[in-house]
Amino acid sequence: MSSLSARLGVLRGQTGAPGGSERVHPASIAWEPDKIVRRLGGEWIHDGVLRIRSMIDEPTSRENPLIMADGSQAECFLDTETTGLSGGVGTSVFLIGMAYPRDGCWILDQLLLARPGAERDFWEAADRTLRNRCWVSYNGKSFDAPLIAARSRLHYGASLAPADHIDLVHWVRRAFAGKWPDCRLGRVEAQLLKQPRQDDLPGSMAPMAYQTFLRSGCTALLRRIVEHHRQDVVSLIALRRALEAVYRDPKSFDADCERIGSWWLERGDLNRAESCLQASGTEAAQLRLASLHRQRGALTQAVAIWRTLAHRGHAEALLRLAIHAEHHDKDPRSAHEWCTALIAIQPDCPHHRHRLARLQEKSRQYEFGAESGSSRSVPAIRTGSRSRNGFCRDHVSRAARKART
Amino acid sequence: MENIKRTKDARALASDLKRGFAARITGELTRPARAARHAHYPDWVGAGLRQALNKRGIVQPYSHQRQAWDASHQGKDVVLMTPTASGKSLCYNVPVISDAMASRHKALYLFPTKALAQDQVAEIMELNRAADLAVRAFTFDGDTPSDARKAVRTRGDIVVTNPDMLHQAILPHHTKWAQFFESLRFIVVDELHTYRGVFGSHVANVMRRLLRIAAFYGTHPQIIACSATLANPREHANSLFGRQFVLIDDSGAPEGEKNLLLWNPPVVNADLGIRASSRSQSTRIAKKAIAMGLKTIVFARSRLLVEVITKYLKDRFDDDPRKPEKIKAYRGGYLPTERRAAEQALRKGSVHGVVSTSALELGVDIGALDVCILDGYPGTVASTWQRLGRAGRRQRPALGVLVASSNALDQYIIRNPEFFFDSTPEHARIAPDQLLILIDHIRCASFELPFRRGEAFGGRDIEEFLEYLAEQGVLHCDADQWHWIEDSYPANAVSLRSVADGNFVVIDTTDGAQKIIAEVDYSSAPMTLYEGAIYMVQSRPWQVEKLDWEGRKAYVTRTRADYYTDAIDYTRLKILDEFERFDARQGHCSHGEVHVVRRVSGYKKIRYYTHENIGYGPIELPDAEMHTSALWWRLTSETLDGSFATRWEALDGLLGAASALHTVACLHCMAEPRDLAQAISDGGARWVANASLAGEVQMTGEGSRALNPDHETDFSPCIFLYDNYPGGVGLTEPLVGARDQLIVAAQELISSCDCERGCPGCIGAATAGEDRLDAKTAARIILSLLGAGNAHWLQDIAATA
Repeated sequence: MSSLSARLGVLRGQTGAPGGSERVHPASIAWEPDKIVRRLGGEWIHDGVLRIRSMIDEPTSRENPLIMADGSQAECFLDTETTGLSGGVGTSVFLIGMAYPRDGCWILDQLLLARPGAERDFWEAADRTLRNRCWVSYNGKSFDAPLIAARSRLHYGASLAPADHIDLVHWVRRAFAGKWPDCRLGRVEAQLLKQPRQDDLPGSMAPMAYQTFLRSGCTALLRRIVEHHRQDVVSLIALRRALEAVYRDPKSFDADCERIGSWWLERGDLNRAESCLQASGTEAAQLRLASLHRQRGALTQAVAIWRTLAHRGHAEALLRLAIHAEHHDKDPRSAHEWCTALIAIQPDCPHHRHRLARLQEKSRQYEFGAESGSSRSVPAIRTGSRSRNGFCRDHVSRAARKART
Repeated sequence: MENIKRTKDARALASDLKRGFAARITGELTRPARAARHAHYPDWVGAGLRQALNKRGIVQPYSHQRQAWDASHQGKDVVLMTPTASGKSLCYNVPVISDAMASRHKALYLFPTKALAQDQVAEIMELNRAADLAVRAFTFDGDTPSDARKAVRTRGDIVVTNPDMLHQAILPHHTKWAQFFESLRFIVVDELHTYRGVFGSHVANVMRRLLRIAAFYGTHPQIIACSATLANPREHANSLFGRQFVLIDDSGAPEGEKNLLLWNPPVVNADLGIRASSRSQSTRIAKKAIAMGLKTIVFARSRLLVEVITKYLKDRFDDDPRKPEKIKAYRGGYLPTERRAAEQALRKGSVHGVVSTSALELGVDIGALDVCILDGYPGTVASTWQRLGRAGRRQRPALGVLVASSNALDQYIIRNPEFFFDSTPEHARIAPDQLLILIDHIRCASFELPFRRGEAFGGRDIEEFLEYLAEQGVLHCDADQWHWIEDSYPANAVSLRSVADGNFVVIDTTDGAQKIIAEVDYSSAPMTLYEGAIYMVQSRPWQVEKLDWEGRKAYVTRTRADYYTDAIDYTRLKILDEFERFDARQGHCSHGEVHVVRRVSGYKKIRYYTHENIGYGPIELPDAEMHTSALWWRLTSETLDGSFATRWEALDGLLGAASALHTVACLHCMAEPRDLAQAISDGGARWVANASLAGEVQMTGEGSRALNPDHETDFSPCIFLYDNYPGGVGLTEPLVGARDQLIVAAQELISSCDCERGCPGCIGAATAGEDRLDAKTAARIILSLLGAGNAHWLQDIAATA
């Protein structure tokens, strides 16, 4: 141990720094490129950069693709293994896997940075594959892409960036965040792809495996990381296909019908949105569905949903009914009653109170102008004191008539 | 309702005070008014910027501003040292804004606090608005929302941040800032004097990292630094940035007449030497000033005192809630909006009195004030002038009153006004190559960019450090570069404000909750977090219930105790290496490295206000050890036995002398009293002498055995002053050259004290036993053995004996 390390060891102990355990590592080990190829396969494309190429048994074409780049960019599925998870320019990418279709097959290139000094060549090689492609990754927007940008800027002089980037984690979260305890890739493989990992070295071991390799030249752990990493990329391609099925039929996959329905709604596919929302039993989905009906002019259906919810004392539905009665049916008295029921549930909302005051005024005017025989709707909201018979059938039919014309 | 008259200026108050309270005023200094010296704008300041400056009322720059602009225009690194309110920020804003307008180069501004950073951006924006300069300035700190950060990085011409943010967020992510670094032209560092000691040593290393990253992007930014008064501004800038600076310190800004009074509160109990509190005196003077219509600022020493004094002033001047407030408090811990509102009210002039902590000492713009009252000595001459500079801006006559508290430093200053007036300001010292600090930043720098073989850091070869880090598995050497391979983010483990990384967290468990309320660094934990200790946050007391030493946690609960606690520690020192030795009259003085073992053995409970001891408690904690640098004076048993009847008297004297030396040494090297420690020991770790709980001197040997000095065959004690950080941060080096001055100053401190037999104000806590020479005389004898102070009083003693 050098005198400096002895002095530092002593001083560190005095500051209360944890652990004086000495980890002494050999300064350098013999560089044995042939041995590495024998153990890991692949070929040296530069001194220190190993490319391990393999094929992936997945179809390269799909019917009615749903998850795809906006433009016509070629795709590249992407995953990395890094020296850490803490971020910052010092965290480096030592293994990058890039899968792309060629001649009807999926090719996977795994580039291994076997010598940290070869990082410039490493990024140059990666750049050739990644350039002008749409990257498809799992949690890559917040993890892999910033790291790739930082390290390539640092050692290659240019930040590698995708032409477009599809991050499958968003698709998974939308479908399963409320259903699963987490959305890690391992969970996806087990729950959705039905292919739980067997005898796999967890990805969290990657930094340790790489450090061991650099210090001792030992490839045993690194080999298992390379295999694990290959499996990650294979899963990504399978996952995209599986997700397309999930989004078309969320109910069969026990996915979140409401959020997927809303997603279809935003996308403008109202039929799919409707069937997803219908499949979901949640009140929020019912509300969405009602507003979808309203959008499409099917007011009867919308009102029916609101009423069902209103009976359960759902404030938003009551508000919708009040608005509908006031502005569509021009029936301030019904609106006033809906609003009264609403205030019974949410007594403190100033907006509701304001609305009620306005409706009070309107109903008064309406009282003068309206013919005396018109029927009144009486909302019966869980109070049980009022009959349900008088529910404003007139207004509904009037609304329906209006919608038809 | 008190009437506030508006007819008088600060001179009237000064003469009133001098007439009515002459006995309390121990010194006075008048600085005459100075006229402005102006210069012309240089040609390269464009019409747009000149127009903006004109609109802001700056038609002609001051001479020092022009000097600064010329020097920076010639590509020189500049350090400025001119008084408060001399227009320092224009010295850097003009070159930076000109350059940003002409060639869209970027500038990085560093301020020690977020509030100052925000002020600076506001100032630039005002200039910007005055003539549509289209210069974009942003703050970048912990409060910057994450969605705005990208815009700051890519669109900001001027990014204003603090060293901690640079260290933890910008440099470790420098590739995100690539565009910024590629066109970085200026680095502006204001409040340079705050970067000293441990903090400064860290910041110097952050600067090394910053310049290294800038070089990676092909830029060599120029530096403009500003400082409050220091003895060594250029040297300090040189060592902070590793470059040669040009100093500009001849201010051309006008100054109104300044009058400074040193005020000692009257003695209220002559027997015990107790004086009226500085708080009540400060409040009285403030009331008088405000009633005369003078805009007044009071600097208090703690947040609690700020609130108390504010209350007293409000009771008098803000008794009508329908009228706008005349008195404001200003301190850390207030919300930013609240602080901004107070600053604005001050600038507008609607507030007549403000009470503040040091928060307003730095360059926050609060407009013109007439009177500045310092409740207690701020600790350094520089800081005193900085605070006094708050009064007398814009050429009005101004009055400063320094009200002394009862602590030793204050009493020394107040009784030796010539020391305060004549002394040069303090030196700012840093030790950027301190091993622990350096290795931390080499780690951070390695993370940011691999070191090449042979690459220097801070001008020194660091191969040995890199090999050490490789041995530790942090770096891997390949192709003549040292690559970071560890799974960590090193900047998170390095706090710029300390050297230790074994911090303790203080957890409040009141009502079953678990809330972290504070963090305490490792070296002060034994003295503050022992079980039974009263731990205070913003003057609110908690009691430590349980200390988990291994887990670095202290569990506390709220308490209403009417006492606070003070730990007693025993320190033994062993001299490891003596670098230099000098004669010191009948003894000698040495400088070297020591091994310190500190044991915290117990604590006392002290009641508020009366300060009586109301109980003791034991503390059981592991010994703390460290290697550090020290200065010590040694006297042999022959010398001591020749001057004292018993060795107990000698120990009384040594203890008193050590306390006085510690007080004056802290003054000299601008150290916080806890950064520099004192001890009496044999230097071989055999024994230590200190004051017992009851205040009597005791001598303790190995295994806590009580010793009698008169029975010791070998008795040659040393007074140690040592750097209280493992490895040292360079506090003792400047003391070596000043060793003789320290002895003289300590002699003056003791002899000018009014007490008869020694008091905490001069010789510290120890009191001599009965039938012995009094501790004050004993301490004077010790000092006279070590230095050539005037010894006539010794003869007087000899004559009476």
